[in-house]
Amino acid sequence: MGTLRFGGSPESKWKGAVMQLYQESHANDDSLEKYSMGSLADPDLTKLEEHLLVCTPCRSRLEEVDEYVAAMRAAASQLESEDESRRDLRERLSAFFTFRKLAWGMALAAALLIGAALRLSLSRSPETQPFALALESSRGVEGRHVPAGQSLQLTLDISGLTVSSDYRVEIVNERGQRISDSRVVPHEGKVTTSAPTGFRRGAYFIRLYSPQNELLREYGLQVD
Amino acid sequence: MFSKGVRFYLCRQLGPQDLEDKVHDTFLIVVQAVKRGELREPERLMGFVRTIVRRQVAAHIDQAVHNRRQQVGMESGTTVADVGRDPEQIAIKQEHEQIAKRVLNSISKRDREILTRFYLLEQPQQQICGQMNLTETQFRLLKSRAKARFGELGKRRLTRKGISRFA
Repeated sequence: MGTLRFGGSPESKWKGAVMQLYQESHANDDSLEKYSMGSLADPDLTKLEEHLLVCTPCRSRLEEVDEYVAAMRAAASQLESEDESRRDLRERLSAFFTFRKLAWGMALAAALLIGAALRLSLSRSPETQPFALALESSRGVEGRHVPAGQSLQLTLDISGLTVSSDYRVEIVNERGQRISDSRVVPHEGKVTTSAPTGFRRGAYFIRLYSPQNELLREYGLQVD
Repeated sequence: MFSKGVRFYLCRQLGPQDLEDKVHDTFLIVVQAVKRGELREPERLMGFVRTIVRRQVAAHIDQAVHNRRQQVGMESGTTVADVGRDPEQIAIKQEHEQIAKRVLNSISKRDREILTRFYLLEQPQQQICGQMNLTETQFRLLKSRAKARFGELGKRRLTRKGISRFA
């Protein structure tokens, strides 16, 4: 703020009072901002208020500063409250997940996992043993019954057949679709083949072929 | 010569209600005092007018407080003027707040803290500079940059609305 200036001679006192309106310099941004925020103290406050009485540009600038200060204040307040609510949430979460609670939670989760693993292993243990089945030559599906979905170990009786170095075993379903086809080597008058994943429900036929693809025997199997 | 200034001051302090009457009262007081020769130093005319206006404001507030006390319990109640902003002003205010928010979000956390301390918590400049290890120049620069950014984002510097309509 510039110092207020007045006319000099006693005769021109009134003229000087009017002249001051044009001679004094404008308020600076800092003073206007302090005034807007209510922190401008005397003697600057007096000078500025007297200046504002006669200076239209400074009044306009003060309005701008008022708007700016109000906007900044409101925005800062909003952001502060947003930050505060975020901090609150974080604190609540961190309070919830204290080390002790976290340890208990982890222990509980571990116990649950172990329990689930144990149950799984116990329930699967009988299935891991393949269902052993000795098949006899037959026609139709009135043959042997086995449970569905269980691993199978099939032993085929080859007594009475021409001894051969190997045989072919074909498994088909009741519609004649081939399920598996493998070559097996006889051992002590029997051939053994397996179905690790077992079969779905239905009727199946296990066919034994000679190395020359001659059907030797057929066995029936009912999967329930 | 200074009627606009008086109007501006009164409006800023007391609001737009009965503004013309208050300005008129002020002028009457000033003219009567000058006529009575109470203004001994004409070069202090501005100071004299300011004092009158301030006394008017103080008297008005005092009267309002007195009236409120006297009228408590009256069945008819009192008529209270709506000094709230009109929809246009509210929209402008909200727009300014959004711009200010963008400005504060676009600067670093430290700069934001400085501006928050100054504008929201109204901490003195010296205190902020001392606690945040800032020079006065850095502080001023930060403020002026934020203000410039505010102006850029608003496309025009700041609107001249509000009190000016009454001044």
